[in-house]
This record gives sequence, structure tokens and C-alpha cells, in this order.
Amino acid sequence: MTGSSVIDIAPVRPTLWHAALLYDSDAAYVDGVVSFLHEGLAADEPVFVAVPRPRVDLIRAALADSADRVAFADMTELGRNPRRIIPAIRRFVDGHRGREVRFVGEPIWPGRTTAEVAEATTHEALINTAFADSTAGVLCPYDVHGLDPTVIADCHRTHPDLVERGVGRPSTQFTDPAVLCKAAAWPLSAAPADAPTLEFGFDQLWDVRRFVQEQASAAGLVDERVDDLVTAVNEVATNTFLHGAGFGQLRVWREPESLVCEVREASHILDPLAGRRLPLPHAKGGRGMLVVNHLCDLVKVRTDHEGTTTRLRMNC
Amino acid sequence: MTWGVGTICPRASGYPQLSTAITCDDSVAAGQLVGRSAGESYLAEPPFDPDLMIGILGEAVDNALADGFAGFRVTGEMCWATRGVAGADRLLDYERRVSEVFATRPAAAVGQYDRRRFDAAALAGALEAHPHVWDPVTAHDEGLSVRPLTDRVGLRLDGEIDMTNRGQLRRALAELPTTATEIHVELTGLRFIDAAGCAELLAAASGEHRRLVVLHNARGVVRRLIEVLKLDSDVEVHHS
Repeated sequence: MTGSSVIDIAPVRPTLWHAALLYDSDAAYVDGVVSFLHEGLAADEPVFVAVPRPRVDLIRAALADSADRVAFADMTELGRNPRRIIPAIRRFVDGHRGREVRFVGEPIWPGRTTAEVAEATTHEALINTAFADSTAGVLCPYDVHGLDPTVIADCHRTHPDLVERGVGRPSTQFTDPAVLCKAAAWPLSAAPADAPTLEFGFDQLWDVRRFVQEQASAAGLVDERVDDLVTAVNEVATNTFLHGAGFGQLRVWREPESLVCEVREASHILDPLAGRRLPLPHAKGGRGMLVVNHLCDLVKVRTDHEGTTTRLRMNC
Repeated sequence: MTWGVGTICPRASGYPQLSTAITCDDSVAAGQLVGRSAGESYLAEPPFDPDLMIGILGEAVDNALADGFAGFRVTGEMCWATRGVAGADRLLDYERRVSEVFATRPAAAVGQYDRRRFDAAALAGALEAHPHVWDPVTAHDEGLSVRPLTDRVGLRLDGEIDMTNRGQLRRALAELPTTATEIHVELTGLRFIDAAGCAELLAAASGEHRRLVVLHNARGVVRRLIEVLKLDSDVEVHHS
């Protein structure tokens, strides 16, 4: 079952083909992924695989010598914060301009927290938006036994196509990404009422940095992670001055295995891909949220009628 | 060294207060200190016209130098621009261009922005338009110092760079000799820089005068951001 049927469902890909691969065993996983990769390699397409490390090894072994022609990344690193994945695919696509490319991405694996799954699900929806005009094939494996049924139901909503046991079909549940990503559908957990708070005004970035530094050090974050969080919060606060009301509220609290920083402000972020677009090479702006996404283990941004809440999580 | 000083106050009554504060009657008598209200200067011929005002200031510099003064200083209170006067929307355009006019002359200008009167967007614009910013509310000992290097073409940065003082870095980079093929930036004393500050360093390498930019001795959070942004693909990065 070296899925020639994957070819059947996508004989011509004028634009994006984005499918969930539903698998229930290692064998089904390898069959589905490797047949997709072989098609790409046979057509001399650049291919990029980002899956959890043990799965990288499985695929490498199955590809044997061809593995050298594939770019690999450990998704537990690259996709720990799912907001990093689209920029990484974009770099790969842009690095092979004018060619069809293939990407295998597994952003949700058994053991991911509910908060992470929410971000990974909206990430999956936004792949459709981000690469709508790219000639690319994107295959996303989902473990139907290991993952919660709600996760599997959501992957039917985020992928226009499904592949199961070597057979492809369109998803009847596919949902407009703009609808799926609405903030109301992904509510944030309540912040603790007693979390230390700093109301900051225009150009008080120095105070913002000192506050984060003190809170993060007191919470026991190691120095390097304190620095990363200071940089990240500074970028978010700078954005409130550039694009927002010019003042905001900063709160910091501990969660069981992480430290969370939250910036609330009155502006509305309307671009669903904000922070996931690459700036032009010599543009002066546009790197702030990319840096934030790179430095933080999880980033959540929610815009509603009251404004925008940005939560940054650093694992301890 | 004697400096000619022009002062533009928000209203005529502001001038006596100021003159009392700095006890400058002798200066006024000697023609060294001149006061003007907004109505006598920025808004003398409404609507506010940046070209007209820049012309007036240029002439004032010429006159001060012709009168034997070593230089010219001016400070202007900008609250008139918050009163909905015609042409006030051109204020930032004026500020940007007047900086350029003064940059090439023995002259200095301070624009006063009352943070109670201007909204955040206007203040952010004013920060962008001015190469240097002094803000007593947020001024810290840990601010930013930008000094030229003595042994090579380049700058020594000490303190912290964020959006409130980024213009200071941009201006200092722009003032370096355009003939230099290498610019060195000493970062030992820099404790913080943001992504846009790094972009200024990159721009110095990729701008109209293409040249090698060498960053020296970045530490801690600065070094980390240089790595995250992969600046080493466009500039040279040296660590001691």
C-alpha cells in the first residue's frame, strides 16, 4: 500500500493542497508519509518534514538513502510554540521560489496540553490562509488512537482534504479559517485575581522591563529565560504604542510548570497572520512578534471588543 | 563662546516667566535672547506652514552667525498644535525636516511636548521625528549613551535601546562619515536592544552607502537577540 492514491487525489496542484493524514499505527504512518514524500522526490520537489523526533527517525529509516534529500526538523522544538511553524514553512517555500514544495507537519501529538492544542489547531486553520497562493502540498499526520476525539474532529475542520488508509477524500467539515479562529471559540483561562500587575503608559518600556525582570527572577526562571521574557514582553508592549492605544496592563503569574506574562490593551489586531509573516529583507519593522514567537514556549493572542490580550508562556 | 538664543513661548505671558526663571535681562538687551509667541511664529500666517517656519529659522541662524554669535539655539513649545489649528497635521513633517536643516549648522533645537496635552500617537510620532529625546518622566541613569569611537569609525553604545531612544542610534549612525567602508559598534556596555534597534544596525550595513558593519562584544540579552535575528548573515559579529 505505497499510496499511489495520494497522487490520484492531487494530480494537479495549482495552489495549496492541505490534508490531514489519519493514522492508527506506525505502519499506516510510514506508508502515508513516505508515499507523499516519494511522490515529491520523484518530481524533484523540495521536501521538508517537521514531526516529533521519534517519528523523524521512523521516516528516515523508511526513506533510506533518499532521506538525504529531505529537510527535517523536530516538531517538539520547532512547533512547541505553534506560531513558529508558518514562518518556518514560509522560509522553506521562499527559499525554493518558483518550485512546488511539500511539507509534512505534525503539530499535535499525544501529550500536548489543551492550551497548546488550541494554538496548534488555529495554526492548522491559518496554513490555508498563509499558503493559499503557494504551490505546495502540506500533509499533517493525526494519531486517531492517541489523540482526543475532539482533536480529530477539529482536524476535519482545519483541513480541506483527508487521507486515510491510502485513500484521499475532501473533508465535508472543512471550515473557513476566519470563522474557526474567532477569539470567542478559544477562550483564555481566567488569570489569577492576585497576579502582580503593572499599568504602563506611553514610553514606560524601561519600567515594563524592570517589572518583568523582577517577577521572572522571583519566580525562579533561569537568567537566560528571564532575558528572553524581558525581550518578548518589551516587543509586545512596544506594539501597543505603535499600533494600539499607548497604554496597557501587564500581569505575571506562575502556573504549575511555567511562568505566564499577559499584556492587555485596547487595540484590535485584525490580521490573522500578524506575527507569522516574514518581513521584507531590509524592512525596519515587522520582526517584533516573530522574535516573541521564537523566544516563548507558547503565545496566545485574542482580540475581542474590549481589545487585545497577549499571553506569553515560559516553561520553567 | 556666546550663543544666540531664540525662545518661542505658547503665549506672550510665557516669556516674562521664562525670563524671570533664567534672569536674562542682559541677554535680551544684548539681542542674545529673543522670545516669540506661537501666534508670532508658527501661526503668524495661518495655516501652519512648515516651509515658511523652516525659512524663518534658517534666516535666524544666518543672522545669529552674521552678528558674530558662535551658534544658535531655539526651543519651541508645541501645544498650539493640539488646538485644532489649520496645518497642525503637518507638525511632524516640519519636525523631521527642521532636524535635517539644523543638522548641518552650528544650531540646536528643542521641541517641547507636554505629555498631558498630546495623545500617545502624537507623542510616538514626535519620538520618531526627533533624533534625540529628553523625557524627565522616563529618563533614567540607565538610559542610552551613544559616543563615537576614538580609534576607528564607529560608535560605543551604553545603556538600553528601545523605541523611545532608537532615533538617537539612527541619527548617530547616519552622522558617521559616508566614506567609511567599515563601521564598528562596541556593545560591551549595551544592556538591552529591541528588534527594531537591531534593524537600525542592519540598515547601516544595507543602506545607500553599503559598508561592512562589525558588532563587537555583545553580551547577554543583546547577544541573544543578535543570534535570534541571525544578524550575522548581514553584518560581522565579533565576541571577545
